[in-house]
Amino acid sequence: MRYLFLFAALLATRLFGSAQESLYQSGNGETAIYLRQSTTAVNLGDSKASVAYINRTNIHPFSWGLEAYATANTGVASLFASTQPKAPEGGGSGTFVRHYILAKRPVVGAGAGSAKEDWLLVDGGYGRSSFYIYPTNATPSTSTAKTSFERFRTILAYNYFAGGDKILGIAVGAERRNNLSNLKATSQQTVVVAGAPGSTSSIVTTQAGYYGNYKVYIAAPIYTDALFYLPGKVTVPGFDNRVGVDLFTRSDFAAANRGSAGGIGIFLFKKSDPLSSIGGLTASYDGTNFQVSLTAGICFSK
Amino acid sequence: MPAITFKCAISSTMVSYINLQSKPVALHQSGTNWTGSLTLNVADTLEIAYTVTGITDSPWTVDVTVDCPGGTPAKIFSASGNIPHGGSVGDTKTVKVPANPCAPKDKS
Repeated sequence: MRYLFLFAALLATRLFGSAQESLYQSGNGETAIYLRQSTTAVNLGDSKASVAYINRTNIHPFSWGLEAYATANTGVASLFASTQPKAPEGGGSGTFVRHYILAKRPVVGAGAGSAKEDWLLVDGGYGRSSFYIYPTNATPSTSTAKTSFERFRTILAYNYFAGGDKILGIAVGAERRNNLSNLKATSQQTVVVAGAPGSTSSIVTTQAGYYGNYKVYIAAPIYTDALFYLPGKVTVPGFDNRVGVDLFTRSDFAAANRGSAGGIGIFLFKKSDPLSSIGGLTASYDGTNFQVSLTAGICFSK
Repeated sequence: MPAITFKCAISSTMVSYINLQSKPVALHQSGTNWTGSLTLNVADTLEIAYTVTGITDSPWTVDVTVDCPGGTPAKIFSASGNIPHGGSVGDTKTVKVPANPCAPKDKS
């Protein structure tokens, strides 16, 4: 399933070739930095592929964008973390952006200087997934109905670009989530043909699902990112790419699921286009679990 | 001189601006490319002011051209480089515009 997903994601990048997804993501695909770059992205840590489009004209203060995404069952590249099950999910989101909130437009024709640009955006999203839930203490049944989950998200984000080498971002909002990643990925077996008495063989069908107490809740996420580009002459040996370092926090301030994590990401970018990431490695710690994830991106400009 | 449509193309990682004869050109973003055009009545010179922003050390280009019937656009102005420390570069130039930018250039 994972390899099929990756193949589909790679194929999708060929088919669509235009998107806006930010690749400055922690392993679970969350970010506070919304780039306006056209890219198609694959986040291996989250098994997520996305394509998007953004519409912007430089002299207009407003722009907008659309994104569609699909996720596979479980991240394929969480290197040291315990496997957190996820159900396949599809969805989309839209962003509406206002540019130059605190920063001022540059005086056109002036000489070299310190660039400043900021943007405030509203990001609204919807996703849907279906899966089987096997509640704790419930007797296994062959007639378990599929559970559907609808994810809703509204995020308000502010980003600030300054000095040619820094992009800062903060995002706050609300999101309808479930606790699937805390449940145990299991499969229920149903015997179709029982083996002969004394035999250990039988024919069974299996149905993948999740075991535990399933909950749906409203999260109040707050994300922060501080992305710093290293000078162009600083490269990773063997690569000729630009290098960026992202310091990030990911928190949920909803009372029922209050928690916070922080981490660092190191990303490689195209030398000619330092907003297009070709991949990165992120490490985060939430006070209990340490997770290192690989993020790989394939970025196209239209 | 009849009105001429000047096509502007800027390549840079962040937002960029260009004014022709002090009039801003609306540039639409497609990835790192910002393109737009403006039709102007000009005498024999054109004032070009531009500001390009981007990630330090990344490449940038500015091109102003005029479409020609033969297919190859006539170059009016071109500039390029790498974004300096600070993330912004800009300049104001006045260039000569031939009466017929698409006319074959005299090789003599």
